[in-house]
Amino acid sequence: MGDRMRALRKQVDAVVRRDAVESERAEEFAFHLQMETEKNLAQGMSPAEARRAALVEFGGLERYAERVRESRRARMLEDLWQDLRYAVRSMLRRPAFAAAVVATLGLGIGGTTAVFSVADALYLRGPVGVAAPFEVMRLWIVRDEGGIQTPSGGPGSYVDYVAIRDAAHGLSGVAPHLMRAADMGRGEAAERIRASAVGHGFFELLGVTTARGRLFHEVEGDVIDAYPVVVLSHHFAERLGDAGDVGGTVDLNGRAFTVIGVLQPDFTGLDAQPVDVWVPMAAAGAAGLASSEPGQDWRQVPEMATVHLVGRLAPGANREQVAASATAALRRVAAEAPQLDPTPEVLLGGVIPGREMHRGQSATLALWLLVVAGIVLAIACANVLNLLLARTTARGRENAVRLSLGAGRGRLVRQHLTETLLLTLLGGAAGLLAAYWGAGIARQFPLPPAAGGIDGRIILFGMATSLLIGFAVGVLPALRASRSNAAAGLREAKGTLTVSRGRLRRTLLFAQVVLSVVLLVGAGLLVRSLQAVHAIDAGVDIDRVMIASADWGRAGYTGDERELLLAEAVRRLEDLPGVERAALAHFGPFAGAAMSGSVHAPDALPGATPVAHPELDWAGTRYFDATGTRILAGRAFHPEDRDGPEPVAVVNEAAAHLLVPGASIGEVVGACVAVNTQLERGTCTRILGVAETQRRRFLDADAPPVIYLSRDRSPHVLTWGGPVLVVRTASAAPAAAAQVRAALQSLRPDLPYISVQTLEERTSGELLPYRLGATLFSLFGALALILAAVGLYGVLGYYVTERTAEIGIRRSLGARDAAILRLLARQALLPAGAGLVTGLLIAAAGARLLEALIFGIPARDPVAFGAAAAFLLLVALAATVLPARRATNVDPAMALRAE
Amino acid sequence: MTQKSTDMLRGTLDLLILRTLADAPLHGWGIAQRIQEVSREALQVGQGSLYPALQRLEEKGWVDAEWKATPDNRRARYYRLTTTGRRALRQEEAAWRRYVAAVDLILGTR
Repeated sequence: MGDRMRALRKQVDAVVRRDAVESERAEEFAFHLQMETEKNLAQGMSPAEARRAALVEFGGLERYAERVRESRRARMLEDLWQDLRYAVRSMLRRPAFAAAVVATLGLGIGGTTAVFSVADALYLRGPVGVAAPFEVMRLWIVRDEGGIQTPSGGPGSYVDYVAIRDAAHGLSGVAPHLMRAADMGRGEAAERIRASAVGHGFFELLGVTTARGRLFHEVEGDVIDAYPVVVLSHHFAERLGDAGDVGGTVDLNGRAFTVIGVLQPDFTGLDAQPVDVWVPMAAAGAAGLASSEPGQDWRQVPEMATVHLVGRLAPGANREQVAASATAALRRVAAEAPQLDPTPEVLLGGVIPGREMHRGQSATLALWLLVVAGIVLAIACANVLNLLLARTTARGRENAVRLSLGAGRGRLVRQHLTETLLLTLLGGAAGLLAAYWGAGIARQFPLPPAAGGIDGRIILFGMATSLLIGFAVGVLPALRASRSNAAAGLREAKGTLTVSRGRLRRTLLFAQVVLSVVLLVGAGLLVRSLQAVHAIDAGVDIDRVMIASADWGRAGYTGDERELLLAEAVRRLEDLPGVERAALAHFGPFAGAAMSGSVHAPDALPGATPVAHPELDWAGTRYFDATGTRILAGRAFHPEDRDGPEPVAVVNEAAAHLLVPGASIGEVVGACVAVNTQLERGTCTRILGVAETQRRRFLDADAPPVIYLSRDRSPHVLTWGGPVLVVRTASAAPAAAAQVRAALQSLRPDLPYISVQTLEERTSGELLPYRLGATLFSLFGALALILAAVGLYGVLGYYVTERTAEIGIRRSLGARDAAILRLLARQALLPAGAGLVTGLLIAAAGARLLEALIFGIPARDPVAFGAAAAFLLLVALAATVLPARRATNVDPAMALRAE
Repeated sequence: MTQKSTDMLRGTLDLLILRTLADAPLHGWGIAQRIQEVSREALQVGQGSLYPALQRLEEKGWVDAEWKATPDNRRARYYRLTTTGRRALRQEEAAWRRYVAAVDLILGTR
């Protein structure tokens, strides 16, 4: 081996076999010390003195300590401790820098963690309290019901359940369950709770037990309406106090039930909304949860598709086989019931909310948000990396000194990493605080109970993320620090070493701008969509209208007694401060139920449709006042119409067009049409006026034609559906709704629960995705913008500091401010501009992906794109101005002296 | 003892080490002792410069090191001159002599 080769191998060894080389060196030093000590001993020194002298001779042990220590793994912990102390000291020395890093990461990690906590609950966890939730399956039944088919399946009948229970293979258990709202208590104490009826073995199948008392016996779940017993969810039992303990009594829809058990605290059912009370399936009718004709067992009716099925896969069973065998079982039942679809099908889906077939839009949204939060986190990381790189450069001298004093490069890397990790972990802790706060926002939306909670898993996620980020952003600056050439570092003149660093930082800046623009465009699109949603004129004043409804008949209010009560209610409500109008209707706006009728137009109406089928509703006096629906022609109902000579009606615009296609709406006013059986009876209904069309669903422009009959004249036509009270208030705030409810509830001591729902609430399900999307995208978009601005400012500020001397020289040579500004603008605005264009292009390509959340505007809405671009440019300019002013204020003499 | 620390130009230390090793392979302590002895204590090699210098020379391929037993049977890292090192020593020595001669000329003209 030639000398050159050997030398080369040594250099390679120094890197590759570092530990070995270092320990050899340590041994060599130890030998040296020992020899020196012995020499001193031989010269007659005492042992301690000899050692001390040797150390002095050696040049002070500390000078070599770092190298010596590094080679000894046992000292690793001590190193770490030392690094930590050093890191804390260096952090305290530059509190602004530390604060910037911690705050930036806190925002990024906080956002990601908050969104993760939601996504975790939706996608990664089963319902809380369920044992081995991944084995638990929902069985969805697909059946063609009179032409209406639900492709992803729905509930089945109890008959279906029995068939599957008896014949399907591969399930270790299967049980039916259904959930309904139920009323508890009467009068002012009445409240609405969620009750679930469950079949035998439901809790056992899920692995749920009681905290107190017992679960249902088989006989209780079997004999119809014989055992009025309930099991309570833990949270509900706590709320009820004594009545909620075993042996207590709970009033459900007017029937008394005995509490036999209280469930384990964590389980509140399989659905997002927690169940309060559990009754055996056989008592569902008695509890008012399943309706049936008197004397008939609803469980025997094959058409009554009201129960959901849940099963647990047997060990080794696979989903397809179970689905196939359950489908076969159902078809055998169908063969005996000719009125049913002969080819029903069973689909299996899990109970993990986000993975279900029937998952809501919030699950999709959660995935989107995870992406968005990730982008913000990436921007935050880019910022931190930028800060760290600047800091490394600023500490070039310090590193050089340490290197020349013999610090190992590995040691330097480790120490820098420790510093970064400490900062990112602090950032992670700040992030968890932010996430805790952010989870408060998440809780305002209907999500699984576990969503938005901060528990061990979420903390682990936050901390793991910050560690990962610490390594990701810490390695590069640390390597750079250790690579700094000792001599060059000590000699370093400002602005000589920074070319490549400048390029990296500009690249980071570019990436930040690109990501911010994409988020801003997304936020813009969603905000504009929400605006479009809010601009909808639904024909009803949704901001100020609330609907009060109750099961009047259950409490014995029927016939004239009910009408008396309702009339009193209207008077009472109109006396309330804040209530502007109260009126009666049978269905009312956004009812979710409707009834259609047939309307025969007389020959006298030219061009009329002979028989039309609009929907029917019965409206009281001042109903249209109360809903805020405009009368477009003719007039609305008057109190005198009740005792007028003939039945009267108001039609909506859509019905007017339906009755006389192509004519102006005014033409139907005054016409007499025969509704339903009036034709045979030879009577007719006089159309008084045309009202604006109320939408059935807020976002559905295709509103139904409705003919409103006078409720004052015929209050008793339907035994189902309403009636409801429509209340118009000065504001539809929850407090106003509570006030209305209290007023109604106190009318009589035996009233059932009266639900008061604002139209805002009725439509919130439809609006939720848009609201959530716009709110959260804007939040994250603003965050991204702030971070990008900080990044921009940082890079420019750094640039100005770095070039102070250069700028000073330029100024002393007569450069104008404009020229200096151009120089700066090139540094900042060039990457920002390039990022802006790239970001807009990416956003334009990706906007289609957001389509499900975009409403009323094109996916490439120029306003959203333009606003995002303008916003970003504005922020970029603002972030340029401050450093630029500093640059143009540079005093040439001062600048040169600083050099 | 005379002056405790005599600053040396970096090239000088390399030359001294190479010259010392030309006689026989030695460990670091030995090199330091030898330079001290031969220079009659005039030159003290600080260990802070000795080992970095040795490492430098090693990386240049001028010296080579291996672990060997000392006469009293202890492990020590022995440095030895390589062929390249020997050639380098000759050149450095010549350069040094020229340098000293030049400096002498200037000092002599005073």
